[in-house]
Amino acid sequence: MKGVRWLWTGLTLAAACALLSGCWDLTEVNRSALLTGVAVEPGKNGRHRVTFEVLNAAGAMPSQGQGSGVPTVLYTVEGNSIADTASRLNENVERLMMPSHVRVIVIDERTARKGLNAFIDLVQRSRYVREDVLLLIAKDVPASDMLQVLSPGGIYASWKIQSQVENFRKEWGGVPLSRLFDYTQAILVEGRDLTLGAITVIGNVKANDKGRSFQSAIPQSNVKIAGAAVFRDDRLIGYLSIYETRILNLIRGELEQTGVAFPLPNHEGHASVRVNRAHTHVRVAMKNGLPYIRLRIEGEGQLNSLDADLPVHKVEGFQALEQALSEYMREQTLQMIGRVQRQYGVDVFGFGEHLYRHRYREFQPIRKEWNALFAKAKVEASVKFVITGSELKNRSIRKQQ
Amino acid sequence: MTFGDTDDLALVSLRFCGKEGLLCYFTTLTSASFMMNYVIQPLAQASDDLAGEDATALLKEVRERCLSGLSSELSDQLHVLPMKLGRGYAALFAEGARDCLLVDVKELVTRSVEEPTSQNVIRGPKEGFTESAATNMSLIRRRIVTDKLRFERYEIGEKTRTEVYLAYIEEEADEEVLRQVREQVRSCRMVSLFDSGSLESLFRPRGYWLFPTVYNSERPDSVCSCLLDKRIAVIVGGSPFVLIVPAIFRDFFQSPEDHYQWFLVGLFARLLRYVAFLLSLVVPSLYVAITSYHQELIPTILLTSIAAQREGIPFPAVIEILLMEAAFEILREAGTRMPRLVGQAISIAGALVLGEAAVQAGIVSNINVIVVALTVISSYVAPVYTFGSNIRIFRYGLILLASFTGLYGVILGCAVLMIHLSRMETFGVPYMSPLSRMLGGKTP
Repeated sequence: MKGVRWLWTGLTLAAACALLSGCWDLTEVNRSALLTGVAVEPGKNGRHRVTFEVLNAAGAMPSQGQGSGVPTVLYTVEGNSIADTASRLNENVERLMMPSHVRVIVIDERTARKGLNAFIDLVQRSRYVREDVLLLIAKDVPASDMLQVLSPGGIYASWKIQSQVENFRKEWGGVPLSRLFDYTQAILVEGRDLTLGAITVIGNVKANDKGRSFQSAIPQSNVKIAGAAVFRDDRLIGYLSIYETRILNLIRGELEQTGVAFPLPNHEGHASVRVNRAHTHVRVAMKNGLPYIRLRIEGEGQLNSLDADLPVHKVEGFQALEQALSEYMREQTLQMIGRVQRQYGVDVFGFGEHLYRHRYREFQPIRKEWNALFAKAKVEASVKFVITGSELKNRSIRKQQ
Repeated sequence: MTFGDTDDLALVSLRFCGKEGLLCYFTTLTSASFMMNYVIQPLAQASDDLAGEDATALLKEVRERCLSGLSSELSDQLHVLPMKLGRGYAALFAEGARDCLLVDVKELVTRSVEEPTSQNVIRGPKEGFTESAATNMSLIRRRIVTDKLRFERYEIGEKTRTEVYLAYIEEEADEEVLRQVREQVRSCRMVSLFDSGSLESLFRPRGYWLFPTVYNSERPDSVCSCLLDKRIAVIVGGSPFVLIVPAIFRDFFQSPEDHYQWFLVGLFARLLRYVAFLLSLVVPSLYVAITSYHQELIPTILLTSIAAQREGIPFPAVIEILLMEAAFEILREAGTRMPRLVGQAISIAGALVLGEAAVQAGIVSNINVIVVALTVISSYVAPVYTFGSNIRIFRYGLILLASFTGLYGVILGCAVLMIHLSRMETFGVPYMSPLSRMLGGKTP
């Protein structure tokens, strides 16, 4: 008897839960659509023009064989703020939006020059947007063009961009860490300014309209990584090339691996080295009222290719190569830092942060004018690269005969 | 006679030692050759020099000289006669005697010892218990050669008078548990008892009926290892499943085979069973919860794939899952009950129509079929069938909870189960021991 009463109580409670809750926040996957990418650019009359990339799941998964068509559909909404456009998205789209899977937010350079804070605020507040969403700057072309580039195989633009940026950073280091998390960190930290990844489009985006991009082995248009965008506070002031960005990553200690092609002495062509490990020791001190920055860069790599007949079966050959590589990297580093000092005058490397951490009392009085001091700083670099091997061969094969 | 004119009652009048006698027995409980060889022939050949004495003394003489190989007794109490006859005794009346001689002539056709059907092993003994309690006891006795092994006989069932034996090892088994089991068995009032399954509820702790607390096995090696592990086995005549008490949560994930293999393989298999238990419990409810409420938890590409598959499916995820689960339950029930000959037809209908065709018709999605299949297969990993089938019930509860409260519901349901499990005790042993041992409970 007791069991029966227990059962009835349980059933009543369950029924009450089911009926009272009413599934208010239930979202069926097949009645909603994923928002995968956002592009922000200036619109008319000072309004924002926001392009949303909405996933067409059946098209993005051609292997399922059920649906077909394009993987994503782009909708453009104009509004006074990004939040305004996002909340009015159903003005154009028939499905509920799931904003939790945004991969990429592309910002037009015209918008970025006016400052990012206004709408990053929205992104940071939202509990749906992840901390690792990519924030990228569209260089030279409207931001919405980025999302129009189609690739075959169901790979939609934001997926392509994310994967491309991520792989390029890991394999070569030509783009800085550019997640929402990195933005927040750079804004809050003392003595370092923001850099974000920059991308651009080559070719003719409009050619995609006729679907020709899918028919040809040569893409009609493609997204290309342009390096890093440099900010003063939250305003865009300029760009660094991918080579300069690599040095930036090296100094920040964020370079995972890269490939360096450097000229051989006596104009004998080039040699290239795959660098697997690189590290920079930074020392910053104040001397006579100016920062004195010393860098000790160390790296290790394998010889990839060699144009000239250097004796790489002996120690001397390696030593000569190491010296040439180290010298080349030292020049590049000093040149790059010099350009940032002269042209932008913002410390994107985090030298100020280093001073803040190691000599807080010295940094405290100059924190307001740090960027100005950085521009006048004296920089020294000592570079030591080690070449640990030459892969399967030592001397080039034609010289061995 | 109380038996009326039932056809299988044999009343054989015979003459032995110069006296008229009447032999009565049930032909259905013995065989004609047995009667002929061991009872009637020795009686007929008994020499006449016993004649002339007192009839009761004659019966005694006959019992000692002619039927000494059979278990027999002299009785003057006629009221025990119907019960004795029903047990396979033959009664011999002699002219002028007050007593009658009861001889055990039972010879029944029993199934021979075969391989167990519901608890298979690849490596290990292939003998299984049968329906005969005597055979089952013999299977145990021949494995445990100790003078401490005890069998205690009880009878349960007003009509069936089913024999029930408690098996234990004296001085090993816990006296307190033994006392409780005896008491339960003695005080049990049932009209009929045909399988040990009906007896399980006797040993269930009050108020905790969600999980089984009695282990059952049809493998003698498994029962013997439990006996040596200080437990008590309950053998029920007519049932090849021997009960073992007390049983805790851990036991339902152990197979005797674990000990016959390399220890790492056994350990791995055991861990696998726990994982499969969890899978079969929560996978469908997690699927429902995550795809309807917490899409942000799924990696984008997986979500894209799920969304693409669910494109055009007319039902919400819950209904879809419940449909498939129900279809499978019906299939399973049909598969167990149907005659073996139509088995193929059912499996074709099940696999093709319900699985493949339902997906192609766009009624359910592929991923749903995968979820249900994974769940169902996982629930059969538990070595004891009854345990796996209990989980199914909780699974439906969790799916419903997930359908209207999402992950909170799943976690809530699991928490309730967990609380229930850790409060349970069976014969003074915490059900979750040795996990809950630190709270002061004792382990078996």
